[in-house]
Amino acid sequence: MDLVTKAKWDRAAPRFDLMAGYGPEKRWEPVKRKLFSRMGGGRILFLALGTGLDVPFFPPNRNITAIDISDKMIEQARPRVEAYQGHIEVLQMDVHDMSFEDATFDQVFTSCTFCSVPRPVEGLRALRRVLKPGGELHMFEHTGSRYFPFKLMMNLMTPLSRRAGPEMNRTTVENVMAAGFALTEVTHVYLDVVKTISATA
Amino acid sequence: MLETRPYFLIGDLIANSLAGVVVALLCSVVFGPSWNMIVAMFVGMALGMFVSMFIALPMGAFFGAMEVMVPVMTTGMVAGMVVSMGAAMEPVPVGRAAWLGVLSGVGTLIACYVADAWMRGRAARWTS
Repeated sequence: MDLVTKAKWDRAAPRFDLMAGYGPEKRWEPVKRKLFSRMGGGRILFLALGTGLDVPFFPPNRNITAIDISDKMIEQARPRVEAYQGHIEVLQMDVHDMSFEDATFDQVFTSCTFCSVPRPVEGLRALRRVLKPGGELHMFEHTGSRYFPFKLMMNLMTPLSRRAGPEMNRTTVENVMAAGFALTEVTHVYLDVVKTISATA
Repeated sequence: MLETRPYFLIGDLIANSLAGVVVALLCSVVFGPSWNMIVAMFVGMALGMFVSMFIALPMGAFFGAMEVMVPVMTTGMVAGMVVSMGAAMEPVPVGRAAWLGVLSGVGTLIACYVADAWMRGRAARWTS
């Protein structure tokens, strides 16, 4: 397990909802609900659970395995997980070191995750390994921008932001393709910075 | 779909206007006729971006993450550029600086909404 990343998110856990729990979630709720409505009846992996802010947007009666690297985040998520009308198994796990067998899951969902995974292409390859052939990857992510002045700002901010949490200039669409996924859909939610990405293994 | 909810539209307006005013007032104090205009412009842009980041963080908690941070930091950059260049020519009074800050904030916000509408269409090229 990446202890540096774990420690960073353990530190962030007590104040995470204060920053992300209201404005961002309210703003993104319609898009997230639409994305998570694609959760089917098979086995679903959700990465990374965080404080469980996304759980109320999950459709009911799904069989979900949720992982997170931080046990402090998982502690914060417990009430939301317990309130979910369905089954969520919560495991502390690093995406780079998942203990699942190959081809375990039908679908993988992520939400603002690959701005923080230290080695994103390796992490995405690990997700592809645990997905069944033809399995679906659905992501809600923020990335860097291709356009001035947004690109410049994201690049300038990243050295600061990565100390407390996410990186602002990730190339997640390109990373998904580099990991061997076949891209099926990209939707811009805000500028070319916030987006949904869908792909198949 | 473009943002149409009044809570967020008003929040965007407040956050960008506030960032514009704070950065403009700061730049009107920091820069003066003794500065070279080009140097003042670049320093003002950098200062504006840096200061507005600390406005974007608390505003973001109420009104959204990237949807607040990106335009607010752009506003900081624009307000910093405009007011520092103006101050390098002649002193900028407080009232005028505040007005330039509000104009920078509202103008940048409108530009970001237009850019957002344009970029949404660009996503289609990734879609198979």
